[in-house]
Amino acid sequence: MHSVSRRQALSPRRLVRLSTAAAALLACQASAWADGPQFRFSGFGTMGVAHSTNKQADYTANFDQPSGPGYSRSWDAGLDSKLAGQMDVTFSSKFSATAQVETRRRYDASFKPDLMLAFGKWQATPEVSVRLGRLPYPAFLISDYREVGYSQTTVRPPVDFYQGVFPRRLTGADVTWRTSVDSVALKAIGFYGKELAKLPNGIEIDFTRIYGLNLSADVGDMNYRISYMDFKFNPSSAQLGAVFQGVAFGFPAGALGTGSPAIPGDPALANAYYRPGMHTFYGSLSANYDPGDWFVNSEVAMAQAVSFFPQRQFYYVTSGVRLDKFTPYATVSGMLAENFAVTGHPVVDQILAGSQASSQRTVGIGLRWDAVKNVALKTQFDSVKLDTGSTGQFANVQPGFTPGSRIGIFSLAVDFVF
Amino acid sequence: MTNNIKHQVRVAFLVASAALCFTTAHAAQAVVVSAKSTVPSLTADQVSQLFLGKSATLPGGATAVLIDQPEGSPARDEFYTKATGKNAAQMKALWSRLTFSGAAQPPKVVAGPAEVKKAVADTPGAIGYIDKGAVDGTVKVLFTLE
Repeated sequence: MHSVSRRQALSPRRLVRLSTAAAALLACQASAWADGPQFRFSGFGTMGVAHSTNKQADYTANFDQPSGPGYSRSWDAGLDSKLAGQMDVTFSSKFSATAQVETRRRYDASFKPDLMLAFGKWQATPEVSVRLGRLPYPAFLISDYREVGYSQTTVRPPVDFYQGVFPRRLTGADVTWRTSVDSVALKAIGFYGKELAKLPNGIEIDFTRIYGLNLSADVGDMNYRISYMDFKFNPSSAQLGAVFQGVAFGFPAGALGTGSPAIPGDPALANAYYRPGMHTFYGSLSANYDPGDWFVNSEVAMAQAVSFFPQRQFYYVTSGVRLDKFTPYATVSGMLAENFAVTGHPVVDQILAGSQASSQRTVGIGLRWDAVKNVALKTQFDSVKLDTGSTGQFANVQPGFTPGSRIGIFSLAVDFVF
Repeated sequence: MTNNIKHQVRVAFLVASAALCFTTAHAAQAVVVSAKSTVPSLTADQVSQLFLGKSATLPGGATAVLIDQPEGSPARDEFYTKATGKNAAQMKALWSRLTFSGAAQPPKVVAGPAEVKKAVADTPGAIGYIDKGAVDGTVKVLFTLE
């Protein structure tokens, strides 16, 4: 466990600098109509603060965030704050290119800008397009626009569901096919790629192969979605590697503390939970209804992992009513990890117990106010309840933390697009 | 006496219709394409799906090129409310989702009904909306939102 220096937190001065940058970008916004390549610059951002009622662990919205409100900070301006600019270049009706640069709290706690997306697109036929490069991928409903606060009703995608959705992008290709049958609009997206994802504490996860298929249908105001995703990964954690090396080849007496007995090696056991190319697959279903005056979004997913990660179920339902410029809303969500069978190996059982103790459920209420054009103000309160014995999806869990707690998260955010 | 009442009723009726005319000045929006287009017509659902970015092809298979009127213009607000049930902020949120996920780019914006007519006449597959009263021989109406 580590703590992050306050120096790297998003200070008010930094926020001012970010907003100045946003204003400068706004000023040079341009869209050309002439023949030849057409350039379009646009962007989005969020300025937010969040507070946790628990001081013994950090609340994080994304798997790669090293800290959040709670243990590291009382009020955190870095959980949700971000700024991104995007350039779209249209060469012809068939070819275009997109690049997006984003600054947000990264795995290393800095706000260094990152080339989030960079891809070329070929509209092969009116119904089929192909993209190549660094791509967002629609693993789940909100996955490919999760950074864009303005496009969502809530402050952030439901954390129980989306915190663990990782990596955030892939390097590869996707194919989109869209068609209409009577009044039903159909879309199918297939994606394939790989990604080297960075996590706090110097850990890297090499996703050596990611692929998936996502089908959706729009029928009037109703949207249905079904998806499948499959990936293989290798974590670069020296610590975990060494532990499972020990499991495979045995621990001598005293290796696990004074007086600990020798444990014979068990390569098959080590291989069952930790090996090159660990496999995870997800299935998900989503149904959404939005006639305009109110809406409901719902999603369920299941993750099956052949690794030291447990089998998990994810769900959420968000509903809100649009009253002119105000949208009060509520969300119910959860992440439920299943328990592993006891192996009888003390070290393996300890790792698996830690990995599976992550179930949490959240009830949240909030209000979105579309105050002025292109700007939305949001306030949200989430009550996170950890299952018995669980430390949930919190980071930097301290020895004084009580598993199974109920934790309140209060958030304020200003989302904008330009 | 009877005539007087009749007259008063007539005046009241005229005033009422004038008021109705005034409040519904932007009521009917015509969804238009080039007069040369071979697309026969669209249903309300097809109009909604095109302008919500859920589909991108016109019946017959041509790529649809959406033409918008300026943000905040009465025609635009009227059109989206009637065609999609969504207000300006909801539409902005929707296009932010599509733009920043790299899925699609927002419609081209032109200055007003005359420019919409010019754009649809000049661009294959272009589709826009104008006040019903502005319709002329250069465009073909595929659907009317009353």
